[in-house]
Amino acid sequence: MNKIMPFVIANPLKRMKQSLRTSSFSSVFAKPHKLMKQFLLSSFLSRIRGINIQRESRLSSFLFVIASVAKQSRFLSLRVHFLTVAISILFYFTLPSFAFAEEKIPVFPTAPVEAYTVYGTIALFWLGIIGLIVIIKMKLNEIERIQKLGVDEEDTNAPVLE
Amino acid sequence: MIWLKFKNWLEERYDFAELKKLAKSKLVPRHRYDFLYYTGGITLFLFILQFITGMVLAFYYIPHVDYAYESIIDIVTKINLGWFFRSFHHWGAQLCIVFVFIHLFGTLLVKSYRKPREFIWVSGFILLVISIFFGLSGYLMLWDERAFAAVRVATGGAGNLPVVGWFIKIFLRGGTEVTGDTLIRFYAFHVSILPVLSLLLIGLHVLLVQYHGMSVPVSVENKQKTGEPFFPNVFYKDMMIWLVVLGVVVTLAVLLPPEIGIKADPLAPPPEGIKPEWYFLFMLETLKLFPGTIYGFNGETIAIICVTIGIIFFFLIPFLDRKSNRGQKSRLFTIIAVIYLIYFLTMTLIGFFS
Amino acid sequence: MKLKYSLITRRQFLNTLFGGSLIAFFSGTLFSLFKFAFPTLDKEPDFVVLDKNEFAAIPPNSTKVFAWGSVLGLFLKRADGTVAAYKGVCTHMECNIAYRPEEQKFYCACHQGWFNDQGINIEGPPPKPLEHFEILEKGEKIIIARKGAKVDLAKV
Repeated sequence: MNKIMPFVIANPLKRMKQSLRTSSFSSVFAKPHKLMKQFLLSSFLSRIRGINIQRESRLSSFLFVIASVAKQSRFLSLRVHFLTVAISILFYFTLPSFAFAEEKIPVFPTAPVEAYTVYGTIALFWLGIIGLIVIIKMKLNEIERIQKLGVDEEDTNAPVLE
Repeated sequence: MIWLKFKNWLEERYDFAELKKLAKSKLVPRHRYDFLYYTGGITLFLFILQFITGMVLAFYYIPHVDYAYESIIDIVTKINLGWFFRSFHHWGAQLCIVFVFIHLFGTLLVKSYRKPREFIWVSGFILLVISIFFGLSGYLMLWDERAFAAVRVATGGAGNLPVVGWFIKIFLRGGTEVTGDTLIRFYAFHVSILPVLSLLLIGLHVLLVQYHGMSVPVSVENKQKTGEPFFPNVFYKDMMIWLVVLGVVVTLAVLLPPEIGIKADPLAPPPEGIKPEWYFLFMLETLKLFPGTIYGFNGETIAIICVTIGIIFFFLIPFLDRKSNRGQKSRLFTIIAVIYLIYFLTMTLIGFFS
Repeated sequence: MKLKYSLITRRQFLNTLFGGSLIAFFSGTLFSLFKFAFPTLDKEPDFVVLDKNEFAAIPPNSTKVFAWGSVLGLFLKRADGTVAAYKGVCTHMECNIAYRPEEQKFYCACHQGWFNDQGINIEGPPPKPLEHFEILEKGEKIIIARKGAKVDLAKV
């Protein structure tokens, strides 16, 4: 794992791995490797899909809490253990409300009429560009034609009208 | 008719004959690689577009840590066509840096840096650094968590340079940490310092190109066709290409507007899978290759030193390439150029898909 | 009828076509740029809602300031107890005006203009009377409305 850029990976993930390693409640997580693979897969997918950070950070913090609970609970009574698990589940569902509201800011006009106006404008814009390019090409052809004829050279011996 | 009258009015006061002669005499060589001549012009055009859209965006942007993010949301949601110009500025920046790199590697491969054009390379290299800093400072203006983390990495990475690193880091950040002072400092860079510097350097760069004329690669020196005049032939060809570039930027701006993430929180952990902008990825991947410690020395410092040496070598290529300076084919430096190009592309792609 | 000579030269035709389409293309582009650069003008509201207890209880021959959009509004209670609401902006050069209770007139300090307590310009450069608003009441609220604006009392 990358030790040079520690915040390229999520800190909860590292802590979770460490806590899993030292946990004596391995029965609680029968297959920690599978959980790890699932988590890595979901974070990889999120990178491809786009950013759904909220869900992943929620999940990672949830797993961290569970893992730390699993680590600590060998010192605690069973009742306290279940209480902390219950609180962590509550935390998982309420964490998004503590964080920034997950509404996407509209970076493009939302009303359909405005969106279609924009697309139509882009089409007209490209038509304009193509038209301009055609006209410029016509001009270029004409210029090259007269250049080939050689008539554009200035006649230095031409008498000047005073 | 009016145009003629205006022309006569001017000609009675200013002597354009010399200028006209100069303009007519400017010839652009024609050979197998003459398509590369257009890359510089495209970069210039994109720069100009960035200046224009940046200037109007500055009417509405507030560079204070408490208002920056909200002002951009206002631009995007409330101002007429605000979303479009912000999106245009974003994509213009991306394409500008793409073409800066295309122009850079183009000139590197055909060796137009060789004698007598060393200063064009030097000014161009400084312009590359300025463009990347433009990108970084502009990126921070949004003040979202991605930009915040990216700037933290970039300035922190610069801080790992030996001797000068700490000084550069403090200077860029306006303090030891990335704060609102960093935002204002980067705003000053983005809006005032860098534009003035880039205008001066672009002026110098273009002036030197006019002075030296267009460079012709050694391998096609004897196979050229007669050069075509810049005015009006190449000028119109330039215009056509620039129109297409404008169309591409507009289309990208409309179809793929950039998202606005969560506002930056200095105390929150960085988001999952955070990566810097694509033009930093090759550096990031290079740094990742180095282990934590090498024979007891800090791996990161060694990595930064190696990267710096690589960049300094790159900068000094015109002065090291003796064969090109004599006007001969320099196969070694072609290979070096190809290695740099492939390394850059590979590392960028790896960083993109990892 | 076939013409012997062309009415315009090829060069003129191409140049006009080129120039014309350039102008057309860039006027569209520049129009969008200007639309962005010009701010959406601060529209004044149709009406504002004020608290009756605050405003009705002011002593006679005094004014109370209220916000009319981003512009000054003055709620006046004259010496005889009648109330009025004026835009506190001088009709000359848009300076803010103030009420002078000793003289029962509004005074504009910029060019020494005076308005009486009916808002009519009586002295100095102001060309027009003060813009006055309609006052409506609804329960505990006073509604100051632009003259001629339709206020749906039920929705306020």
